[in-house]
Amino acid sequence: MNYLYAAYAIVWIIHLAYLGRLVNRTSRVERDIDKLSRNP
Amino acid sequence: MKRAFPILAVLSAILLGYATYQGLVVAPTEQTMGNVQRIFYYHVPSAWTAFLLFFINFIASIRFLIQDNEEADRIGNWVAIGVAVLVSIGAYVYKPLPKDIQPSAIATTGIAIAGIYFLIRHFFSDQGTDILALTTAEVGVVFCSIVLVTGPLWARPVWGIWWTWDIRLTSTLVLWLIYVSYLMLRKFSSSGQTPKLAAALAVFGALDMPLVYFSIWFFRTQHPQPVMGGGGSIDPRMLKTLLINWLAFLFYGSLICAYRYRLERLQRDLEETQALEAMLEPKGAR
Repeated sequence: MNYLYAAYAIVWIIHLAYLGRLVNRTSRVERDIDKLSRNP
Repeated sequence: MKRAFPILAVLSAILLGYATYQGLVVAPTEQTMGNVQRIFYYHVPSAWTAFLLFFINFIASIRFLIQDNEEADRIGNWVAIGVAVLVSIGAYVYKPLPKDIQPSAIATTGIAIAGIYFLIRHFFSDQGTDILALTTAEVGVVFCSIVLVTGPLWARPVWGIWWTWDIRLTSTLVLWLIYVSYLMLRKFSSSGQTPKLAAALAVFGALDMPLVYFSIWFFRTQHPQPVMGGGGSIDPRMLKTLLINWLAFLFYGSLICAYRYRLERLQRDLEETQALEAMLEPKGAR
């Protein structure tokens, strides 16, 4: 049973870590675009 | 897309929650392996999704290499049609095919190859093809990592070992390494030729995919036999749970790909604008 829960938990850790990285990068890029459009 | 994204994300979360509930609670317990068999509901759909994404990466890479050359583009179209026809006919005519492999599965794959090729040709062009290749490789690596992590977690209690250098496992690890090197090439090389080099690497890397997929038929391996398209049998309730999980991961994977695609577009637009701005800025202004 421990192996089962470990597998399910690791799957979601990997997915959430990747998702978090994507969201971080997107907000950084959007911030830079915003900065650029405010100071043309 | 930006407005629809939160709704699709909620839908995806509901679908994944339902699929997980099916896998952990509703699906019957396997008699020999017990509950640990339920890892299969995450392992197999992740593998299928990774394969599909690497396959799209392969076609997008080919398109990226030939799209600027009219002659090559025309040849590419005929090759795609030829593959669909030859594979479909060959699947029913070629007798030495192992009897476990159903001809309909091979024929469907042939038609899918051509279908994906023409879809990419129609909807993506120029930079779009390159971005699609990058996106599918990156998300594919995430799903392939899950396959490589959940596999040993299943193998330890069932086989008594975490890993064995068996053809299926080794070729999957090689596939993962190929796509990780593809992503590293794209990240750390600053040459203008990087997208073309990466596309060539992806085309050669894709040669490992048939080896991974067909290894269990052509070689003696410890990996379990396929449950679909290979003559294996599975309880219908387990099959239903497996398909629900695949649908959920496919939906989630597509959504992540769309999000990553948009991010890459924004990033490239930003870099282009910054480069242009730097060029237009008067000397000594900084």
